[in-house]
Amino acid sequence: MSRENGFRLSLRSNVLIAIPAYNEEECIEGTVKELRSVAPGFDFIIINDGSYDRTGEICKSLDCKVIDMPINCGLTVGFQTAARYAVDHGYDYMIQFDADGQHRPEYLAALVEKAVNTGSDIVIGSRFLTVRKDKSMRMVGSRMITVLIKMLTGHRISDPTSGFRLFSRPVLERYYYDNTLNPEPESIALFLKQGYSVSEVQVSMRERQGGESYLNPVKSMQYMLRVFATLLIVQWFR
Amino acid sequence: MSFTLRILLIVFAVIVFYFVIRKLKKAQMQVLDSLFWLLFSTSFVLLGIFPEIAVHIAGLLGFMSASNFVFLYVIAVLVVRDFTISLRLAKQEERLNSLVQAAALNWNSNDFRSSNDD
Repeated sequence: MSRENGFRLSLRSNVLIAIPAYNEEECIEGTVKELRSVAPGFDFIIINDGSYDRTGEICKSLDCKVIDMPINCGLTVGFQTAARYAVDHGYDYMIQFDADGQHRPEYLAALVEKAVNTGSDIVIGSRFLTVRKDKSMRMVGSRMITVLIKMLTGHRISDPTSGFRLFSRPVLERYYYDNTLNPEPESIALFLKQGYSVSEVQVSMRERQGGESYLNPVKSMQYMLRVFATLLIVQWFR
Repeated sequence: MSFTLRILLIVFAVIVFYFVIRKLKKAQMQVLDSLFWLLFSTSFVLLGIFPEIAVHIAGLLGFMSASNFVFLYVIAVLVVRDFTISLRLAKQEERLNSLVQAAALNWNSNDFRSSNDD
């Protein structure tokens, strides 16, 4: 048993949990405390994306590793920064984790195990691998992206918009050198087309535990437009 | 609508397509921007191939000729585009300023310390 624990611990130290946070003063403390109690041994880093609330202060008081972005740059740039940090510090895997409490640290080990056992380059924490999607507008969008990716790459991604994903080092290195790549469905599809392997693990998620989502109706429309345009038009020319 | 204008529209569309695709390949253009140019030049092709569209709308709006409508269409779209670009530019300048300020304060913070100690 001790040997197995040792194996697990050494595995965990190769994984970086990246937590982008923008004005998450209501949630960040709970997220950090839960991570420390449920998934100890995992390194994590918070990318404080130019928050103007108390997010930075709270992280400092909790003694977390923080990358402070001097201005708000958005999720993609925050993610790329974390990917560079992970590569520079020799991590084998990086897991994208929400600051708002939607993601459950119980599943971190499952993502890592899946990556190690299957050798997948990307592992997605999917809400819909064994569970059916409901009929809300959001899920209509998600279904359309799933169908489109299936048509373009031949692979079924049950939860393409999940923000709970593990990336292995080869993928992180791609993010290091190409900043047109984002942590979004269109890049996942591009990786699939280029022969990287993507697998999924069933997870459950919660509602956000406080604060406000950055996705309003206008941004959601822009998001869908960008994903569809990239998948349908732009990627032909890449 | 004159034959020359129709040919010119299609030629311009091809040129725009060529440059947009080149920039996309080099990853020097954002997706939503490229989408604007691709759709805009597609509309040139449509107007060039089916001049009836322009003739019909010009008739509805009471224009002297179809080509006048085409000119107005192009100018109107580009004016809107110019407006949004100038908003984006202003935002970029603001961001650049705060970035430079953050970098300057960061680089010089050691000097402030030591001069206070003296």
